[in-house]
Amino acid sequence: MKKFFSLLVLLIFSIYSTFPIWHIFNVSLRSDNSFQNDSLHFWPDSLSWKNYEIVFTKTLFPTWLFNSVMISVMVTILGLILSITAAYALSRFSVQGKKGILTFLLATQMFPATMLLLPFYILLSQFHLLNNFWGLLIIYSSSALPFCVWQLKSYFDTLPFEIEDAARVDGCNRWQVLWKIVLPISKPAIAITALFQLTTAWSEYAMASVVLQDPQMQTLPLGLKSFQSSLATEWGLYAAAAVIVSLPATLAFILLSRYLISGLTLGSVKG
Amino acid sequence: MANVEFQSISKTFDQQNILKSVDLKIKSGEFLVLVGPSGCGKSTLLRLLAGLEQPTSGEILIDGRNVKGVQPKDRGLAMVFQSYALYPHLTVKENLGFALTLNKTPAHEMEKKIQEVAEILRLTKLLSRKPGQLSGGQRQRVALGRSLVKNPKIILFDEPLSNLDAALRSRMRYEIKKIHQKTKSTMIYVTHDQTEATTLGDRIAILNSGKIIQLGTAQEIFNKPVNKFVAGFVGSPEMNILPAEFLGHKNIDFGIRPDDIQIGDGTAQASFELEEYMGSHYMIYARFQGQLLRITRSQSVSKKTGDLIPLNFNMAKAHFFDRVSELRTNS
Repeated sequence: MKKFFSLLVLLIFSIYSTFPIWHIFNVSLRSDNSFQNDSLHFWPDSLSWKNYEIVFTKTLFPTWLFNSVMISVMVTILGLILSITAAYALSRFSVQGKKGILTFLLATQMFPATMLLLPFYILLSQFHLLNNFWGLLIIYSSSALPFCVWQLKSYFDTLPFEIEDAARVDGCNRWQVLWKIVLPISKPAIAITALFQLTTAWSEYAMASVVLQDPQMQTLPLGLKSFQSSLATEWGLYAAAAVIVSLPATLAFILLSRYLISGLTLGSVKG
Repeated sequence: MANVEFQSISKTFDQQNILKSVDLKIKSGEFLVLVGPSGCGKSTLLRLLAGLEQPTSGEILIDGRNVKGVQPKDRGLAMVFQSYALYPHLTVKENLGFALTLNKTPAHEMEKKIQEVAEILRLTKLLSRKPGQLSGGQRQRVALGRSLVKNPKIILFDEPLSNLDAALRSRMRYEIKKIHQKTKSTMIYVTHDQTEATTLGDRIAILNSGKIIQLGTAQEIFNKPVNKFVAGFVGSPEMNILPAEFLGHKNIDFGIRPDDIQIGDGTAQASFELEEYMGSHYMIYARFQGQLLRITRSQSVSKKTGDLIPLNFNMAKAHFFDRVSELRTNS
């Protein structure tokens, strides 16, 4: 009986959380442009992939997709390089003022992102980085960095020193210790960090809308918004694009879920 | 094989003097055991030799060459750690071959060496397993194998058997001793277990508070401890130490090992407290001159608590220590 109720609760929550996804998928497959009318059934009356076709052929969607993929991948790679090296140094070396650095990193997370829009805009403008992918890359990487450094440092702290000592005696230099030993055994933490950076860059809207004004340079969240207008919204196209946008993040979660689960529990087990 | 020399080695951590001007020479091919209580600096001495830490002052010579600034990998040594320190993401085979991969040993030679070591340590059937799939004893054998595969001149052991149960420790002691006989490598072994120290070491160095208190063979240390600390630290069960006033000495402590007291035919009277059956012998606890004495005996004394038992101390094996300096006073 208890199991039945558990399953029932899980089922209700699953429907509750997946219904909007189904709904948007449903809208994307309709040939008309309706979103909130009475004819909207659970199953679409007729299946049509037309919206997907239009999104790819008659809009700037492929360009936005390319921009988003490029920026997200670059942010993830750059962010991982910076956060891994910083976290490892803070975990393993006696850096002067280490406690202060860590507290400062944490303090930067207290400010809401919107508060930083103006200062970032002014800075980018002074460095002529507006309407430039590098500008967005720098902002995304730097704003995700404190959280990622903290997360990775906490994980590195749990790894026994002796494994690294053994590797040094076996013939590794410091870089080889990091590359051949620490990184392979830190896969769960790195996967979480990568996912965090990837999804943050993939779905960010506010900062991108300030930095990127040229439609050719826009990312997917900005592109999606452009389907909406004050007079009419292309709900079919919007829904089709939204479905496509959500696919890479979903895929990344599925691929990394194995690491996510072990990453969330590993810290509690010593050695 | 290589000889090692520590010259006036000091090490300070956070203003604490862990090692205080340690001088020590280890001969080529020797098995030296560093033994002492927790925090005495024995592991630090090993880490300094490995190059994992740098001395605050003093010099370390390996085969006469000063190794200051020389990386751990270039010191020609291997190290076995207490926690095994195996690489969890690599198989046993990859763990064994890790150092060889780094120094770019040809594949066929690497394979041969791994097989050789795996055979010596009975690891052949475990080569494809990961460390997480091994028992404690198997993991320690892999750690030992990883150190042997490099053919190092010196092998360092940092309390390698502490995490194993008694039976396995005894077996591993035998294996380590056999390997020393076979490879003739210089071995330096850190432990706080005196059984390991006395069974393994050609010589033993007793450390306390960052200094070497005594250096000698197990017999020398057991029979002539230089001070009260060594007397109490080496030997199991522990030496009995009591004021020597009852023998007519002032400001002197009298030490006698539990084996060197006979029950039954002496003039000294002790009050029996209890006895423990230890398998091969009995451990008798009796109170003498207000102090608790430990006495080993092959048979039970069959007495009740409070009964008087006559004791005979084997004075030829007695130890005397100055009460103030704690140094040995008899030769």
